[in-house]
Amino acid sequence: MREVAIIGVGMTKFGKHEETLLEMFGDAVEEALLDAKVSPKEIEAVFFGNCLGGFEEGQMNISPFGASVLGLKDIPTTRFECACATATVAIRYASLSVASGCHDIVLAGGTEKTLVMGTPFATRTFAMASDSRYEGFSGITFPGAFAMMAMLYSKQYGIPLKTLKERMAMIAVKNHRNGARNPKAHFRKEITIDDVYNSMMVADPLQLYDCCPFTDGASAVIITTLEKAKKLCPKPVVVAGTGQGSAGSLLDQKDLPRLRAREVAAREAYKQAGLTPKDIDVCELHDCFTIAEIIASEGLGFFDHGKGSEAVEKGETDIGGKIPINPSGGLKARGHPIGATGAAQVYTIVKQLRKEAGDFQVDGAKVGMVDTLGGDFSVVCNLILKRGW
Amino acid sequence: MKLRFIDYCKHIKEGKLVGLKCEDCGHYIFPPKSYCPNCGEDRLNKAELSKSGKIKTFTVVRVAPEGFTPPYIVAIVELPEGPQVMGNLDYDPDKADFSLLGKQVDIGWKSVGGDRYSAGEGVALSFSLVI
Repeated sequence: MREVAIIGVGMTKFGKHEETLLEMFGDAVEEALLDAKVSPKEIEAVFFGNCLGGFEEGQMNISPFGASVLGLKDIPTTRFECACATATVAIRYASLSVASGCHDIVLAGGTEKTLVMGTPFATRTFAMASDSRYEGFSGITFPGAFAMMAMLYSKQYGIPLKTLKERMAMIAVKNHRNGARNPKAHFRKEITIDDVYNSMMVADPLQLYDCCPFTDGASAVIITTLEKAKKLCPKPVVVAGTGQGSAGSLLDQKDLPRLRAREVAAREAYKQAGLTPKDIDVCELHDCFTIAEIIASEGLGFFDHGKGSEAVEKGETDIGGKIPINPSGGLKARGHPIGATGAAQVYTIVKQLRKEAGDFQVDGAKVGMVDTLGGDFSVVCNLILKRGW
Repeated sequence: MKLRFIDYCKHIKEGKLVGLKCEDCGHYIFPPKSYCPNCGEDRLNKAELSKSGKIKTFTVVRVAPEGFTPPYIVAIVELPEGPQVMGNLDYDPDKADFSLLGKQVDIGWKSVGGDRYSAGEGVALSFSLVI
C-alpha cells in the first residue's frame, strides 16, 4: 500500500445557505483545489458524501452531478451514505483508493442542506438512521438515543445526573467558546451554563444547548500519494491510519455506554498509524450532543471509561489542555451538515497541523485525530492525520 | 431469515413476542438476523420471548419526528432471555425520572399508522410498570 496525504482542504461557512447542494459543494471544492494548487482535470475520482439530498432537494444520484459542476467528465463518482459519519467514510475510501494504486489524485467531501426541511421533518429523516422496523415505530429520535445514553452513563459510572448535566453544560460552553473563534462556524457566540439550563428540554435529560444544530454546508479534501504530495505542496498532511466499525441496531448493542464500533475503529486507526492516544495533540470528535463528546473522549482512549466528564470539569479538553477536543467548536458550534461534517473535521485538523487555524490554533499540534459517528451508535470512522514535512 | 417483520407483527398482535433462538449455541436473537451474532451459525428458529423485562434506559421525547405527538417516553427494555427491545412506556412523561431505571415492566403493543416513508403501518411495543 502507498502512503497517502491530504494536499488541499475547503469548506463553506456552515450555517444557513440559499445555495443548492451542488453550489455549496462547488464552493468547497474550489477552495480545496486552490489550496492544493491542483486543477479540476487532474482529479481521477470523486467520493461524494450526502445523506438526505432526496428529501432536501429531491436530488438522488448526486455524485455525477457533483463532478459535472466541476467540469469533471468520464471519471468514476460515487455517493457515500453512513448517516453522520458519511464524509469521513468517503475520505477513508478515497484514501484507500489512492493507497491501493487505483488512483493518484482524488476528491472527497460532502454537502448537506438540512435546514430547508424544518425541525419536525428533519427530525423524521434523521430518525431514519435508526432501525426502521424495530426502533422507528416507537418515535425514537437522535436526541432521544443520546438522552438514553446519558441516563445509562449516569447509572453505569455512578455519576449523579445533576453532576453529569453540569459537566455536559460545560462542554456546550467550551465548544461555543471555540466556535466563536472560528470564522466558518455556524454559531459564533459564547454561551453560559445558565443559557444551557434555561434552554428547552429536547429529550430528557438533553436540553437544546446540549444538541448540535441542523446546518447547511459543504466541505472537500484533495488526496494523493505522499510521494506526489511532497512535490506539490510544502505541508502535506499524511493519512497515517484509518479505522471503521459497525454495530448494527441499537438493540444489538449490549456494551453501552461503551461503543464497540468506536473501539474497533480507533484500535485499527492507532495500529495502522503506529501511535497511541498519548500521541494525539488535537482531536475533532463527534459531539452531536454533549454526552457524545464525553463518550467519544473515552472510546478514543484519551480518558478512562467513566472519567471523561471529570476531565471536562478540569479543563483538560480545552485549547491548551491535556488533549484539546473540538477546537473548531465541534458539531455543537461549528454545525452539523451531516454529509459534510467529517470532511469539515478533516479540514480543521489539517489547518491545525499546518498552524493555520488562527484564533483556535492548538500550539504545536503535529498529530490529529478525526472521529465521526453515524446512526444510533451503529457506525464509527476514525482517521489519524500527521504532519508529512 | 426465519422471522420476517410481517410475521413478528402478526405474532405480537396475537399476544406473542417472537424472536429467534440459535440451535447451536442457544443464543436468543432480537431483532431477527440470518446468522447467529454469537456463534455465526445459521440454524436459527423462532422462539417466544418473555413479555416482561427491566427498563435499561429511557428518555422523554419532547421534540418529535413529523407524525408523532410529544411528549412520550421511549425506553429500552432488557428481556430475561438477553435481547433488548424498544417501545413506549405508558407513564406520565412529567413524572418520569431516573428511578425508572431497572423497573420491571410488562410488554404489550400498539399499531402505528406510519407515513409515506415507513412502508405501511407497523407496531410499537408498549411497556407498563409492574406495580
